[in-house]
Amino acid sequence: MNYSHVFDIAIKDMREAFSSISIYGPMLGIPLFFAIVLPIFTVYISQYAGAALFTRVLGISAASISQYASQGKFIFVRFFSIDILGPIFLTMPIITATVIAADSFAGEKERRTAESLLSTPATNTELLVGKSLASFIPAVALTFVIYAVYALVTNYLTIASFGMAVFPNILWYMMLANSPFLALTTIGMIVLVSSRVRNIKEAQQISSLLVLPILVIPFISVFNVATLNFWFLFEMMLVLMATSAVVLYISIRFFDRERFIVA
Amino acid sequence: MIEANSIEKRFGKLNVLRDISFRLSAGETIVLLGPNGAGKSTLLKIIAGLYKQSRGSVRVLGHESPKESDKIRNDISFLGENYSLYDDLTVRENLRFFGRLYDIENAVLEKRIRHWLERLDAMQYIDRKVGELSRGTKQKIAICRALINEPKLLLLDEPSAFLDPIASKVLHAELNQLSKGGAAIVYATQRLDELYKIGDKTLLLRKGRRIAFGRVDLIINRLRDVEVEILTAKPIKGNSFLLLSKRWRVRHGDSERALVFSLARISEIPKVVKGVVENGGEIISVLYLKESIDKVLQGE
Repeated sequence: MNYSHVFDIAIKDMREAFSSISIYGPMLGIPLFFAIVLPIFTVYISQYAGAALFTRVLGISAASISQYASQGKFIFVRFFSIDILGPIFLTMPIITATVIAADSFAGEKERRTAESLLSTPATNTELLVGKSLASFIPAVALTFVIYAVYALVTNYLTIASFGMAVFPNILWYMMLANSPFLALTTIGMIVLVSSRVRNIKEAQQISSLLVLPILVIPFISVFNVATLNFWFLFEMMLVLMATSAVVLYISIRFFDRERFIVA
Repeated sequence: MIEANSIEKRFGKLNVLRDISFRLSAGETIVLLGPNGAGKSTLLKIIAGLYKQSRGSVRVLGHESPKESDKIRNDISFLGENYSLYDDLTVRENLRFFGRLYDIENAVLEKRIRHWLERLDAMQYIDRKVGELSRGTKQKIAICRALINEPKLLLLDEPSAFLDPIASKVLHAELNQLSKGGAAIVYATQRLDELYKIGDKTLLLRKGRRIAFGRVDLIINRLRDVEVEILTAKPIKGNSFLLLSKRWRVRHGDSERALVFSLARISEIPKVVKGVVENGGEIISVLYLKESIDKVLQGE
């Protein structure tokens, strides 16, 4: 594999993605909203409005809230920071990777640039690894930054009350560790569908359906199927690691230049 | 350079190419001539290794295509019917990107970028985003992109579309130069006049079938029912027009300065030009009106 080709393709794609506000706008805006507004909202609710409001607004069982709330404010904030907001943050690498990867792969078709790119000496592996990197690097980097902002804001708001920082903690680290594999699995799915779609919109729609099972995983604690504890996140990471490796291998192995252009 | 044997290409039930065979050697230029839907673009993509033929075989630079296409991509260049450049990147960024994929050394690449942009009179756009340029300028940049790796085999799909006459002339001159240097060129077009300017051989296609293949001059002489418009500096009317109409089927075009000749054979054009000059016409341009190759090809 010619690594220079891989990096040239990755850099080109990142340049393209970040030159269009329609791509990086929602990609930055939504996570920043989660990272800044949600902790403020959570702390405000926990300190002033109490558990009853959450019960009413979110429909979360009063029993589970009172179980945490009875153990004090720290546990209460942790409940919302990890168990409720954690899953939302786990979707971030998925959403970000979907936006960039759909643009990177299906965008070549939509903008009719695929033919010139596919006629260059870059091999299938170089093309797909380069394009995957272009989605992977910003998706993971953005997720890490958002996690850091979220942790800083939450700590700032709560440290006076608790006398200690809520973040970082082991669950937070485990969620961070899962992010790259969530992004990789999503990208692999998009590479698989990119040969069969005509434009970015179709790629996003089909890949949204494909990544739905991944998207559900983070929320299973919300629905009381399992708890987002260390072992659950560790096992999830192993499964995602294997899935992403298989999906990326299949997508590279069966990539067909003609099908990519014609579809 | 190219050995194509009985190529057939189907998309589902649609047969796009049937039984196409031809050979092309180093230093030769072949013009693929045919109307829309003749199969020119598909044939180019098969040679480029982008499509796989449904039947038959293609050897390009000694390698089987598309099976061994990875081995030849460094030595070929393909320019499709779309300009195929990245709108959000500048001209320089686009050309650097493609040049690097051909493993061209940085200093050489910068030199070639300047050279081709200057030749095609597009140097002033080097730091402009491609998306901001006119369609004609985009086409010039796309041509620069196709020439950046100095290929042994150049595959061009209607490269002069959207180009102004001066840029077209430069393109033809450069291609002839490359051909003299040993490059083989496959040039798809719908424009009959381009046959004269660059081709050694021509392959006439209609509805995916080869209807003629051979030396350009021989093929041209077989073409019939061509309409030619001759534009003159001053109107030709009265006696002069009468004299011309006695020898040829002629009418006025959009104005009295435009004479439209219906000729049975393309080889009559020099005589018509001579006749117009003899009758006081100061010729500005000669154009094929019926580039509707459909009609020309029906005469075959």
